[in-house]
Amino acid sequence: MVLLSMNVLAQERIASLNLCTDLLLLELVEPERIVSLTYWASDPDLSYLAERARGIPVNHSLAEEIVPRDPDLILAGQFSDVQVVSMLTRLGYPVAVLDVPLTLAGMRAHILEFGELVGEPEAALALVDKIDAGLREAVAAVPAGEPPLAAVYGPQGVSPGSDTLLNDLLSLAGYRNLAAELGIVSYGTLSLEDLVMAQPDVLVLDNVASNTDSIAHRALQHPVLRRQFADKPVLSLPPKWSVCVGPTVVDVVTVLVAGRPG
Amino acid sequence: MKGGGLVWLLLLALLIATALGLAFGKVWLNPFAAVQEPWQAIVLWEIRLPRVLLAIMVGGVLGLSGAALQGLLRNPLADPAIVGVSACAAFGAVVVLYSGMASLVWFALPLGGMVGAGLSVILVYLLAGSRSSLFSLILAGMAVNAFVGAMISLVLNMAANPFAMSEIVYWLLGSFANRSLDDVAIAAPFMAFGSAIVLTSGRYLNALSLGEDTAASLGFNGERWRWLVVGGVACAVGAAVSVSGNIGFVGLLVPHLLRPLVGHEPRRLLWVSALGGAMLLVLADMLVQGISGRVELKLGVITALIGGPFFLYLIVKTRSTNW
Repeated sequence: MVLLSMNVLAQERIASLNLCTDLLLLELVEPERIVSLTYWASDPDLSYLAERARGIPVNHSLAEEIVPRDPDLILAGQFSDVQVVSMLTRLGYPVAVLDVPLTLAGMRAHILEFGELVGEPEAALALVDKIDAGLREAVAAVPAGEPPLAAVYGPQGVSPGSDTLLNDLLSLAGYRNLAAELGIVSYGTLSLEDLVMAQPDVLVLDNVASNTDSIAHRALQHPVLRRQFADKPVLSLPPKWSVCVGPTVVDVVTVLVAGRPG
Repeated sequence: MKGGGLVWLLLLALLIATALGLAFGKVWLNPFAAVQEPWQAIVLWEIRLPRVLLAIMVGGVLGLSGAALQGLLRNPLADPAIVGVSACAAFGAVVVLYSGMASLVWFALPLGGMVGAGLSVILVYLLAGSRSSLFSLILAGMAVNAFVGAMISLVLNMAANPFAMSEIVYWLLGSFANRSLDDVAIAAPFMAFGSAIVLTSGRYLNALSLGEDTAASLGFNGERWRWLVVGGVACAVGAAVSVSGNIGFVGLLVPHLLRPLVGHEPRRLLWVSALGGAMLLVLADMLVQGISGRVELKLGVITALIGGPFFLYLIVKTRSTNW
């Protein structure tokens, strides 16, 4: 976490420029204190808290949408628009740029730090406890035995390798991750040839939006996938579960465990 | 070299390239040997075969269309991508795909491509005229390409799918990655039909190379033949682009390299350009798979790397010879 300005004492009114900080804000802070969220926060395809985000003003990463709200703290993500972050900093607003945690342990630290930042440390601790309890319950159902090989396949063939939260969640649910075993670090692409050659036991379709009118999503309907996994489990993770860290990791692990073959 | 001999030579080279295309990928597989494991058959016939088939068909269509347009417009710089036909085809396909219309009927996607291509051919014809100067054709093509490129951006920006905007590169540069036999099946009939029409125009293009009046005095109905060639090109290129994106320079490069070998005869150039275009794209697709990093390179990058400098060379050359 990088704090671009340390003048963060009275963070009463908070704005967010990133979907993941939107969601943690909605989890930890009462809606009256949130003065701006990204337009994704109210998209039910991407945000599991879309209902709660309704009514809060939205932004499209434009400084002119933020400045009139005069926030005490602005939250941005590592991949937020650099231009808007530097402009808001220049205008004297305290902007915190948060990075993306890559492990489960990192996620816990991230939520606790976030709680400190927005002045809700108790709520953050309670959220971490809730997630841990959920994970413990989900993992209790993991059967013993040889871990099956899972291929995670998203639009454009994107697959999470080592150093990703999804990789951690897969091993927690008792799977081996094909992308990690092929040496992919962070996110990379898995070719159809890789996928067929490795003969994975389970196909996990990641980031499957409700609208599939694109080349990226057509690739997920390739006849080879249908053929190869005709009699093997095919699990599906909606984008609202896998885009950000938070309580949805429990949903991911629950689906992975329930779908385990054998 | 005799035209017949050249056709056989190109056909043989294409067969070798096809076998190599099937064999080459993440691992080498022998397409002629019996498969040892079931996954090898899947990789060979359901992942690599559609790619190679599309490369042959799309390359053939682009090479042929370039040769036909150069003959018809009597302009050595005519090419489906340069005059804007490919970009308009991509626009038609983009509208159909991202609006969700692609799932209405099986031929919706190529139909969108063909309608876009058809409109553009008419547009370029109106803008540049049938006896266009070299540069008015290029300028008309540039204007059409710029405008349609912006329209593609606009449609992708408004599309409901979150991945639409990132796919602009695919539509502008083209790729055969992750294509299936389904994609081959929806586009192949239209590519074959359009190409067949264009291939019948050889005698007219021969006559036309002597001038429109000579062609008319030899009994050719110029109006009818122009529409046949233009319609055939729109049909074939529209269907090709709808399943592969806009792969540039093939129609420019291939006819130019082969023209001296067929004694500058437009009719003989048609067949050899189709074969040459097919071979070029099969090889380019292998190169793309061979040199790509973590994300596969788009095919248009390779063809532009070869075709761009060649295009500049042609401009310099035509400026001095005034073809």
